[in-house]
Amino acid sequence: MDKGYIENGFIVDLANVKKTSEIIYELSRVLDMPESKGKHICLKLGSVNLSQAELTSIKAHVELMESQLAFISTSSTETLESATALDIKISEFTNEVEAPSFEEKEVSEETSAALDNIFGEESEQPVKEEIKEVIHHDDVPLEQVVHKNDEDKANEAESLPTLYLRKTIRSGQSISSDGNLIVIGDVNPGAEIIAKGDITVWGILGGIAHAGSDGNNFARIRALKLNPVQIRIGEVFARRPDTVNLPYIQKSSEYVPEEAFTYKGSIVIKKIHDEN
Amino acid sequence: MTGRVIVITSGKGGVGKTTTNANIGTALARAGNKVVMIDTDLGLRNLDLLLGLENRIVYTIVDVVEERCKLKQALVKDKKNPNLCLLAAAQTRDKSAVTEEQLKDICEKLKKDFDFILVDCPAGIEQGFQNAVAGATEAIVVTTPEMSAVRDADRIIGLLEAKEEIKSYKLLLNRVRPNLIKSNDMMSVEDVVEILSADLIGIIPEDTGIITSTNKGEPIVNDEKSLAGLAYRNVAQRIMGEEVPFLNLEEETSVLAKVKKFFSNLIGKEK
Repeated sequence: MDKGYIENGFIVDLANVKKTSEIIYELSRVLDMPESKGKHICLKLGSVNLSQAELTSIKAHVELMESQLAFISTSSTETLESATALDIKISEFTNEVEAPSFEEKEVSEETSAALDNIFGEESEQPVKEEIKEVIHHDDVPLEQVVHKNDEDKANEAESLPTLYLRKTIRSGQSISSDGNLIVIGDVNPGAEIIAKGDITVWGILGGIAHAGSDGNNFARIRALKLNPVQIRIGEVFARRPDTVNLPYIQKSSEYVPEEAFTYKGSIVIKKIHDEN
Repeated sequence: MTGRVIVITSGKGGVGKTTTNANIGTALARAGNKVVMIDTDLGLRNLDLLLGLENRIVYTIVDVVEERCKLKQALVKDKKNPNLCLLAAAQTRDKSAVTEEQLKDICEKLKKDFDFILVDCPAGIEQGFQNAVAGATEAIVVTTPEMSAVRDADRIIGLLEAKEEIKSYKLLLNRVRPNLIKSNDMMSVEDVVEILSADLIGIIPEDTGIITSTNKGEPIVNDEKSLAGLAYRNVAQRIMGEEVPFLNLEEETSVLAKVKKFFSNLIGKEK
């Protein structure tokens, strides 16, 4: 086992985590800590099968949080293949390996505390495990895969009526639409907008937004700048990362429009770049 | 466990009720108490911002009273201190969404699990105030050394005295500026206490750090260097029944004032 990474990094033990979205969530909790910045991460995975695309998004996420994915250990052959294809080094862990155990402990405590923080330990909150922070993806190509059975749902927004508003939605105001919702103006923090279909904001979206309110995970939320406190699409829920503590952001012509959609149980925000 | 329900009120807006609530709550939790803060300022909630918990709120007090969730589910745990919880107000509703009885009921339930229940009261003396006071047995009246704030505090104390449930109330003097008091441009602590004839539980100096801490969502009691933070920690100690002397704010004058004092002493000696 290469020892270099221990000197400038640490092991993140997620061997018991089964879902990709949870891996990303737990990772982002760890990487959120200032001491993780610039470190090499050694990701310890269990039997979870990660496709190349999933691993790419994990890797991008780690890099987005200013760390590096140095090694991966896994017992799944699929993950192994994906890692090899992406040139991520494989490290073989055995239980006897002397990993810096205090780091591991810190990580698991932090992640469990993070979950507890949200609703409390004994809470019976059903969404407890689904709550995660918004993932920002700027340059990674992610495409939602639409299965044949879901095509109706994916295209539902096109057949829905649309509520068109030309005003600023302010704190305390709540707008809901039985179809799509278009706001020409800002949605300020403290406001909430809910739509059965898609939400489009021609301005800064700073409040709470819920698209696909009848459970359609294929709904999308777009804005010139997405800075929501909380965002829900269908049954998927995410909150603003604590690292982004900017309820009010400055207007700027520099913003690149952004779009939020669900991707494997997480909400992903992607900049809409000019295709040319 | 029977918790103490303390309402933090003022009558006048902008004197620092919510800041006081966030800081005393955090200080009490830091001292090892189980604390829950209830924001009753429906429609104009702020306490979540001061604690940096806005992005974690899923259910609010209105969801609890309208039985869309259980009380426990609506308690948002603090990021740092597991002893500290927040029951947030709804932003999209108004004061009429909750009744006095419902708030009383919530306080009764929380008493079993928490040492302190701090109720953040909205400004004014209408329904919001009546709601906030309903479940409380103690009150902290926040005021600043200004005529208008003192007048409103006097009105509030009158209303509190008329409530049988409120067993005791204490005065917290916020945004005190010793330099202005010295130059007779601000009412002194003694003046305010005399006008209101109420027991003092704390004197908080004006501190620009409050602005930064509010914007960051990080209560100033967590800043060991801040004088206002220390003053708030002392208030928490007093609430817990300990005797802590009041800070001598006069000595905390600026460097310039110290230099001036030094020179005036010199001149005095020369004469």
